[in-house]
Amino acid sequence: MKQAAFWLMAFWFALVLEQARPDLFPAGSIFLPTACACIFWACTASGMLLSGVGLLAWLVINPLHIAAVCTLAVASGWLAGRLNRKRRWSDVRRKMQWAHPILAVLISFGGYLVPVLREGPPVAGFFIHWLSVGLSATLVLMIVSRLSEELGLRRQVDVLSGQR
Amino acid sequence: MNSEPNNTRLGIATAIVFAACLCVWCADQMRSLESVRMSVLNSVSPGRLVVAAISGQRSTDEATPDLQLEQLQADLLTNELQRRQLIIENAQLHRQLEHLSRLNEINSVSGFDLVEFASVPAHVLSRPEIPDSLRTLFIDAGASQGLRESGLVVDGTGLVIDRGERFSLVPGMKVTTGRAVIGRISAVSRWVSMVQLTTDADFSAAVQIVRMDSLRPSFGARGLLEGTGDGLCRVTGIPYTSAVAVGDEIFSADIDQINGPRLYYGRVTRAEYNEGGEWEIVVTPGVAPDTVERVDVIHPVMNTATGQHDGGP
Repeated sequence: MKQAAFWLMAFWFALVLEQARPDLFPAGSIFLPTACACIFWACTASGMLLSGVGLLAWLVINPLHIAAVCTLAVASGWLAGRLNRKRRWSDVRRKMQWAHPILAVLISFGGYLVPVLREGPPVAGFFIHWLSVGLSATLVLMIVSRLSEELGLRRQVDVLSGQR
Repeated sequence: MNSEPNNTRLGIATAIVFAACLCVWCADQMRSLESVRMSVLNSVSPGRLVVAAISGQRSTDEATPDLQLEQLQADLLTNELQRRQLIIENAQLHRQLEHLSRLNEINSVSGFDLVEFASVPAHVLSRPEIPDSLRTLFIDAGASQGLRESGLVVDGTGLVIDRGERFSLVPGMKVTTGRAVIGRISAVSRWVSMVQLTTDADFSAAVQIVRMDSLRPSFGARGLLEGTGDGLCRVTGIPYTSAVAVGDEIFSADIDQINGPRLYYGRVTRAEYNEGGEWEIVVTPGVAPDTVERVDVIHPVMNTATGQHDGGP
């Protein structure tokens, strides 16, 4: 429950940042990495559902970017599923690749470009800005995630089922 | 989480999220998400305001002059576009208001109380003459009702309008658009009528010159307006002692020799003395007939509704 509350607050704060400063944080550059981090943090169905709630809220505000949401959900689900095949949590943690969240964010960025390209070719600065912010947010979230594991702050509990 | 990793459950959850996203997108396409969107935006607005308040001052300070200049130029361009759009809309509204006010004046009681001038609205069917296809159509329709061809079609040049004997139109009635005269009825059949334009060489009407002084308009000399046959009109019968100038307006002196509302004919574009001691005045019509789609046929009607002319007290 604490993890669910934490991630809901993280989603809310990501939405706040994107809504308050769209010039600094383009739509999705903070929220999509946050949702991706939630999925890879849990690597479970409940994590996916929790992230899905946030993604739905973001999609309500940005209805054009359904491709970004769908690609992120599918890519993250597939990549997290590969990690979830490990029988022990320690294996999951050990095998968790840094490339997985980054790859998921990059794939979702491809979906993000669909409505943008439909309106016209964007300038190169748009790509650089979005990717720099999005990948930076992803890296920061991954570092925080790994630090929380190393420092023993991560409870290995399914956020919805409560199983250890 | 680490008890029994279940890849199937994760796939199902992904599918659920995917389906939910599609549902949200479809709901947005049906415009049924506005209230939900407002709720979500309201939920983030407190934090958004706090972040904007904290970062607003800093962002203003950090903004370079070039960025500020670009922003100002973009704002200026946007305002200019909005201003032009408003000017266009204002002109359109002004024209509509002018047209409606003129029409209202025509439709309202005018001239003597005993006689009113009413208008019969009509559509322009064709110009400058009745086409063969329409002629055939009328003849076929009339034949089925036992009518002769002479009562169905009209000859001549001008505008063909879709009102005829059934609306009590008779030759000589003035035809206007708004309050500007474009001609008069020259021939009437059962369903259509022919309009002789003011620029036609056979057209003539009594007119009066109105001078537009700085303070108010003043009526000038009366004369006879005639068509020249080349898209213009001329006014004859104005003695050289009368004051005439380019830019003066030409209004009707009467309607079918009845004192009534002043109808507009056009503007003086050339005024010179001729050898006969009269002004040679060229008038440009106020309305281009090629652009007219709807017209009004003006005709006098007796005002017997009030009863004050029936010998009452």
